[in-house]
Amino acid sequence: MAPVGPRSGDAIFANVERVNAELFTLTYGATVRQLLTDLEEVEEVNKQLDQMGYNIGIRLIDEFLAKSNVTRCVDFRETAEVIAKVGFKMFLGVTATVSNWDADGTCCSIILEDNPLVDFVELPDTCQGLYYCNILSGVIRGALEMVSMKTEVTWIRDVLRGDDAYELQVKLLKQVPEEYPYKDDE
Amino acid sequence: MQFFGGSEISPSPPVPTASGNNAHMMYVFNRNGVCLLYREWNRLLHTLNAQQDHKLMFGLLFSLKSLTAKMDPTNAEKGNLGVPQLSGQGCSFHSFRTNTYKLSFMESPSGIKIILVTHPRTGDLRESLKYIYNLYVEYVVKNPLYAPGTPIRSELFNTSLDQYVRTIA
Amino acid sequence: MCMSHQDSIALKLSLIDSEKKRFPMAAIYSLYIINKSGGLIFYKDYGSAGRMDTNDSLRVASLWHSMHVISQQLSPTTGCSGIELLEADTFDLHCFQSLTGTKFFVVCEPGTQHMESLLKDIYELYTDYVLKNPFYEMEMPIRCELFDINLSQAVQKDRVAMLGR
Repeated sequence: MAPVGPRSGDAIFANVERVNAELFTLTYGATVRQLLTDLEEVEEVNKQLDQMGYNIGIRLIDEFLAKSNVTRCVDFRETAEVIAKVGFKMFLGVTATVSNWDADGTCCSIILEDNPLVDFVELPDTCQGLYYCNILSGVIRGALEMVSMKTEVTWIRDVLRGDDAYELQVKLLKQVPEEYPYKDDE
Repeated sequence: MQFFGGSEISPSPPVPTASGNNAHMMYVFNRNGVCLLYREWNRLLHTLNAQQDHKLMFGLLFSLKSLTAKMDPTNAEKGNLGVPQLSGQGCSFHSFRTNTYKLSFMESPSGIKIILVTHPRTGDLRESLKYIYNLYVEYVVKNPLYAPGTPIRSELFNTSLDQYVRTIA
Repeated sequence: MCMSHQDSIALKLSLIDSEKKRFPMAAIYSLYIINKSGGLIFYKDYGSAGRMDTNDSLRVASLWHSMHVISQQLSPTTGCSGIELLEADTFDLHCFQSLTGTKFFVVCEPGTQHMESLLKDIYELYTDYVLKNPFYEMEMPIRCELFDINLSQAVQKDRVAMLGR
């Protein structure tokens, strides 16, 4: 049996059930709004969004793996490419690019030209410290952690803050090898 | 208008290879060795209590994987026996057979291990295990009330699993 | 006119040489024999990448021995006698255990046929050239030249049979 290569993001995207994009965008907006009301501090909202994203990411990874036929995630470079090309396409319908690799291949940027989360959004003056899309960084961190890669994900550029694109920096902290989980306690 | 998200269980299940009662049991483990699910359809012999049984099964898979990684005849750079591997790294295995049963095994890069024990003459179940992984995603992972890493208690998942397994073994 | 035994072997060997050029991959990678307490008493490598040193092969043998026992404890029905075939990503492992508890296993390319009968042949050679040798100490590493010679013939013969398919 010949090994089956990963499916393309477009192929998967064509085969999944869809939901109205505006409904999704509005729901996300309402969620952020509610968090601002509940938590008051912008910094706290950033944290909460990241945590929510993380909780999504640790689940989403399995759907991604099940549908994309990706069988190994050992090489960080390859993994970043797959996230950008297949992952973003599959779940958000947009393609991202990977660039700005550092010399030892442990840090890169994922750049989004188009971001469906932010349609209709104008950041008010009172929320200047808000990373409106912080849920995305959490998703990536959570998903990568489930394939044994501990990462730090931070926003470098944000259109809502006046930049020309969305840029997420993904930094690999360490890869955790599998270990025998039980203590010898018999 | 733009659309995205959502899903159905795809790909559709592989063509049935058998029909009957040839499946004995199934295990799902996460990478921390927690037995998320144990189903039993037709198991006559219980030599150990459930907890020991699961632990022994996980230990067997873990050791067999370090064995196959070390024995891989196509790779010269393997390190020592039992050297910790990143998940998905090194030569793994997909089944073994004894005179009384066949064990089929798959592992996702996220460390989910699915084990199906069937009649020794069952054919290749790799595609079927992938399909079961898809069922797990749909009925377990996507259930917002399911806490990751805890034992699965989903009637819907169990029912669809029972139905599906009946068509393959 | 009939070919002598030697000639026929020479012919087969030359056949193997020419076939080797067309099929450079060895079908059989290695052979192990383990005594009933899990000690490795024979190991032969037929050309796998990164062959094992003595220490590694001993450890692999003893690990296989215990995996074999555990697989019996996990059987859903009674009468299980351990793993006969392990299908790995890059190889198959066929194992035969004699009633006396000696295990013979070959590591070969995925999908290689007739390994059960090869293992039975090897078992017979073991009884002939190892057990019947009065100077062989039971359960100890096998150092019997006649066994080596006959074994390599059996393995070669198997390769020829496979290539002739």
